[in-house]
Amino acid sequence: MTIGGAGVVGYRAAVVGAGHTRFGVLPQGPRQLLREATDAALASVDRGFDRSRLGRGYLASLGFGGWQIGNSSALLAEEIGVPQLATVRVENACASGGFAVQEAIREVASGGSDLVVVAGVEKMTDVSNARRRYWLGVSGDTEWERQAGLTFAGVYGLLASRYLAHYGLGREVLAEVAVKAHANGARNPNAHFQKPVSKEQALASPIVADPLGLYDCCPVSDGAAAVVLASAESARRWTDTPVYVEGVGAASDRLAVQERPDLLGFAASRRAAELAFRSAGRQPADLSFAEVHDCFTIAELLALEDLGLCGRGEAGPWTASGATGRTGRLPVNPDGGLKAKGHPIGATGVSQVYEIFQQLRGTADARQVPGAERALAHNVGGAGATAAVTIFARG
Amino acid sequence: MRGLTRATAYLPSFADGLRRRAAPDEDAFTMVATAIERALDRSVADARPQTVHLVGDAGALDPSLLASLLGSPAEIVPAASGAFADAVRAAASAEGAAWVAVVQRADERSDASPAPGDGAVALRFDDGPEAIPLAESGLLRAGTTGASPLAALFELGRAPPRPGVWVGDWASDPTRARPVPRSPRRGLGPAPANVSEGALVPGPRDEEARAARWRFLADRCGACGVVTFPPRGRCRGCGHDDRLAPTPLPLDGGEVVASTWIGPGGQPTEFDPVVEVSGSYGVVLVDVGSGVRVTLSVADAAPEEVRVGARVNTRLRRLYPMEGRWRYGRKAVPADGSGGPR
Repeated sequence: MTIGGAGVVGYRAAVVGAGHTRFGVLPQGPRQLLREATDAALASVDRGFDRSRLGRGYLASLGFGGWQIGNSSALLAEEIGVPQLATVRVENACASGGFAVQEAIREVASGGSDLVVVAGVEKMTDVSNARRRYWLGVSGDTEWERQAGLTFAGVYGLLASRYLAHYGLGREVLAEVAVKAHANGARNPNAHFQKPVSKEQALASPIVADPLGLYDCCPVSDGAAAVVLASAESARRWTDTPVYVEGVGAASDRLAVQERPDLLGFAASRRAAELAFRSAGRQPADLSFAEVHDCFTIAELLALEDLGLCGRGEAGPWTASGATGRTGRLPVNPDGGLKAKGHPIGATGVSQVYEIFQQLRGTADARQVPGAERALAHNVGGAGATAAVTIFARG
Repeated sequence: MRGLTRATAYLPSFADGLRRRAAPDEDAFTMVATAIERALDRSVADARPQTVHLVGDAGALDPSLLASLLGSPAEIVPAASGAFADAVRAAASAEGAAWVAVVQRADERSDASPAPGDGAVALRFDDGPEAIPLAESGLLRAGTTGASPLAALFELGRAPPRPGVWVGDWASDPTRARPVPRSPRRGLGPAPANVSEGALVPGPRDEEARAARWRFLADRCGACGVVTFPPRGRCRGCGHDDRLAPTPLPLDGGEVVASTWIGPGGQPTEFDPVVEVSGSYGVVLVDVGSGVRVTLSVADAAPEEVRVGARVNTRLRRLYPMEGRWRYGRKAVPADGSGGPR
């Protein structure tokens, strides 16, 4: 397939608008967060349009805390102000947003709709501490991992222990990821954490799930993000600078980590990346930057290797060298990532596309990656049970 | 010749002075289970008990739990605590494999218990060349000393008439025990009736999984040889569902391949009582052989004992309360722990 603008193999879809709320501990409820993000996304479309032209709406949300756990996609239609809009909720835990974006891409690429909206939202800070800790573990394997006392911090703690033992590394390699993430978050006005941290601070934080300390973990955040997608043919009707979809890949893996042969990465991420690069006709060297799923510092190291951005076992030294910093060879998570920007579960995968939209249009302000032309979004569900990788390019 | 063919003892790893103390996640059932497992020959189905007489605090435990542990339709006979001698006579004169299980958990008794504190013993009666006839076993005398049956058995077990039959913690040195956890009697008592925020594993799903969870029973495929665990009725290697044979995986000697230690705030809600008692807890991923790994909580250990590469054994323990009952499962303990090798 050939799409307009870039003239490369890919999907016939483009992002034409994007909106984002602040991430953090917020006073707004989920309805208001949805409204703010979608209003901003629709208003960002350069040549304004009639909302009634939307063909579908996709809501990405875990339903954290149990609030409106069923049928919540109807709220998206309500808050957009088009109550009859056909909507569906996509739930793949932390990868809900990435998968919702891919469903939307298929909808416009297949000709089902000309224009669709994707919104991700999570409200996580308005429930009791006990309920929050309950919900942080609902997306892992319930019968073995959870019964052994693990939430995701614990599962990633296991993976980190294996990674560090296998490569003979210490916790410092994890701290480097946190330092880089916070440095980027400090430039992002939407980020949950906007203060840099030192390596010493990161290493001194209390242990949550050894070897992971508090600064190895993403925060619990409220927030929403939304993007508007159009078919490639109609994209220029809405803006002169659409961001085109070049490649799409997704995969699953066994839910329980104990049933996977390789503990040094996620097979789902590797497969999703392989499919995405292949469908885009691209390779890692073609990327200007990457948005990767860094719910824990170890997750970013695994992601860099799974996506082929560096070799197996090289992610630690590569990060320490500054290669993934905002001005490094391949910037990773210039928005601060889940680690510093925050991780409102359903919103995260959509937020990654928001960042790519801003960066590739040159509107990312203080966090702009100079000359960004092509980027990848990598969104993982839980500890690698699902993964979505999508590649975007400037028109 | 019929008689006593195995006498196994289990003592908790913790001690309070000279008395052993159960860990917070141990109860009468888990201690009986550990003693019985030490006497079971897992490779021989016929060795499973046909009758189990329960003596002491074991009288209060749910017989259906024991049936799940044994994996056989054994007849479970609860006996009054004074009826040790009667239970031994009945087991010695029965046909087939008959067992007597004795357990003592001090905080589950109304009166203060004498030494050795908490613990359990399993006595197996059967036919065999090594069998000790009841009259020569000393057991009848132990039943009349006035001490608790468990205390009398430990006195006997320290100098047994035929050492090959008596295995387990009989001679365990109390000075090698671990000090009791900081609040050993808090938090993990009777199952709270209503824990609304636990990982939901409904009763029928729990019962369905007990063979795998409690006994590490896996499926070995007759077509390709791959071992599937937990068993799900289909081979994960070749997809066959008609040539699966139940195969027990080793309960002991596994290798830790990943290890974490959960600090306060990192635990799911249903583990709050565990954190309340011990402050933190470990979780390990254990390679038990045949290409199988199992995720297990850690019991009776410090973090440095269960690092990557360490060897661990497993024991049945309380996990967390759900629907007013305890959910049980195996936990990892250091292979060289004070419980001694099996």
